[in-house]
Amino acid sequence: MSAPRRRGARAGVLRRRLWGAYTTVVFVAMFVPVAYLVLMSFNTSPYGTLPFHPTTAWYARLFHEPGLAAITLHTLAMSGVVALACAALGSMAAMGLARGGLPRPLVALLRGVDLVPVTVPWLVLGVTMLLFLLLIGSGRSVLNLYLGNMVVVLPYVTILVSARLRNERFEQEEAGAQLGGTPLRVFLAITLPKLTPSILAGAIMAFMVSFNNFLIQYYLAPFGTATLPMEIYGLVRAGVRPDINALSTFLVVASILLVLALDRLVGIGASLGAPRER
Amino acid sequence: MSRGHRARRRAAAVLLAPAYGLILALVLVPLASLLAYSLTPARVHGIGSLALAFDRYLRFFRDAPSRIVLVDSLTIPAVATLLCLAIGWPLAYALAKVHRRRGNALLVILMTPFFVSYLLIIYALMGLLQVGGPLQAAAATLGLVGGTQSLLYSRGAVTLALVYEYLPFMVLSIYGSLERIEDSVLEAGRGLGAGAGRLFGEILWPRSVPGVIAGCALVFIPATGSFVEPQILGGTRLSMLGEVINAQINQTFDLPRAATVSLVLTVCAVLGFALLALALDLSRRLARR
Repeated sequence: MSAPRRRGARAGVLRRRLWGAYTTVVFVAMFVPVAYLVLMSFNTSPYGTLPFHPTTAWYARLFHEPGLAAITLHTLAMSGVVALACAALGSMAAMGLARGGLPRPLVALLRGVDLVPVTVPWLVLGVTMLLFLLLIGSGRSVLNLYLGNMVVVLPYVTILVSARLRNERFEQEEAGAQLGGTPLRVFLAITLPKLTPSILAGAIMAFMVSFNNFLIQYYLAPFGTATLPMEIYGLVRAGVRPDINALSTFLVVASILLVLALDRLVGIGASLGAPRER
Repeated sequence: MSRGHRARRRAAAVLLAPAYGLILALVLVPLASLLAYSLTPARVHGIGSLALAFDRYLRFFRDAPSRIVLVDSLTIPAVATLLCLAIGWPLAYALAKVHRRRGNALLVILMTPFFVSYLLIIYALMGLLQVGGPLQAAAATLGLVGGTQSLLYSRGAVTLALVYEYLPFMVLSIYGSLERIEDSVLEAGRGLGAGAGRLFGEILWPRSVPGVIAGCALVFIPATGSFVEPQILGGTRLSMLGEVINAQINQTFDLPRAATVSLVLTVCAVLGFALLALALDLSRRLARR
């Protein structure tokens, strides 16, 4: 091996090391707040300060918090209903866009419409929905809370399923149709099984986002009904409360499990609307 | 038009109607009605005229505190967006081009804090930055701040929270566009003697601009609508329009004024983003020449 080439290889190793160091620093920094919450959930000091003396007292207190279990269950149920409804409506919309034979400009327009609820600040969306609902004589209600959460996360499912429909080839659909299958049978036997991973990924996405969507819930939930993020907001505003640390440890673990599930179903790059050829 | 074609379109309409009907009814129509709402005459005036209606906008822009809040609502997210870009671009490059085999797994890890409620991130930062909190203590030890000086209640604290919340979006957008650049192109550039600077200026940056613009849209526009961050981490020292809107909804019940401020915020956010996107696109065109 000639000398310049060896020098090049050594420079390559150095380059990788430097990038590796940079990546490590950013990742560690990104996880400081999460790690801090988990650590403090086991610390005796209620003020989130060091030194560290281990305890599990905050977990015991969390389980005795009145109402928190009911609020968590309600928020889980709401996100579940929203996710299921979005999975159905979003997949339908994606099918209609991809297979409906609509004029291209119309399809492009509708795909643009999908980006509106994703990019407009959720505060503005929440306030706008509330003002409009008041204008037409409705207002805060459980139904509106569900619908408002749905409209924000619906585009995630449409975008994810659309990406799948665009990347996959569907000769089998044509074959099925030519062999005399009705559109419904072709859909159930061929298309749906192929779409299932992205529909599930969209549903998980919808579940996570509506579970955490404080701003929409804050403006649409009827007075007297709290969701978990609204409850957390109340606790945070009240000041440093160590049982929030215990609660967030549970949420962190649940989030990690759901993110892993999401990644197994579709590549993570595809799950935020950046479809990748696979 | 053939019969089959018409039937297909009818089926498409049935498939599309529920989803887009919902978006139309709860997002597009309400956004349009925001303008009408903001122009309804104030309760005290009674008689409605266009001049009186625009009065709300005029008063907003004439009011010096409102102007300060508007400037903060745009500059804090702008600084956070640029920080996300400065930190996120090299990170996306490292994941897409250097640690390619582990890139996807690392992206998954990066996504996790995004799914943990952002309220908890804000809460964690509150604990870290308070007097005696680990970050404040570290900064005090290094002599950067006084021992009893809190890092909370500042523009820096709010900006930091926004960077934490939105960095994953920036990295994901840029990662997508960098990953599409074939390695052969970079190898050819290196083989012809191009240094890191030229590779960046002539290939990597121009090709990543679409991803950068998408990332800026996903960071800057939502960040302008922050209200919990300035409320909790900014304290009484600074405010953003989100807080003003929230106060009008929940405390003063001045709904037309809330509509006015929401509209001002949305229009300014979109204009700010458009300027940013134009500048980025210009940088791409200049690099291509």
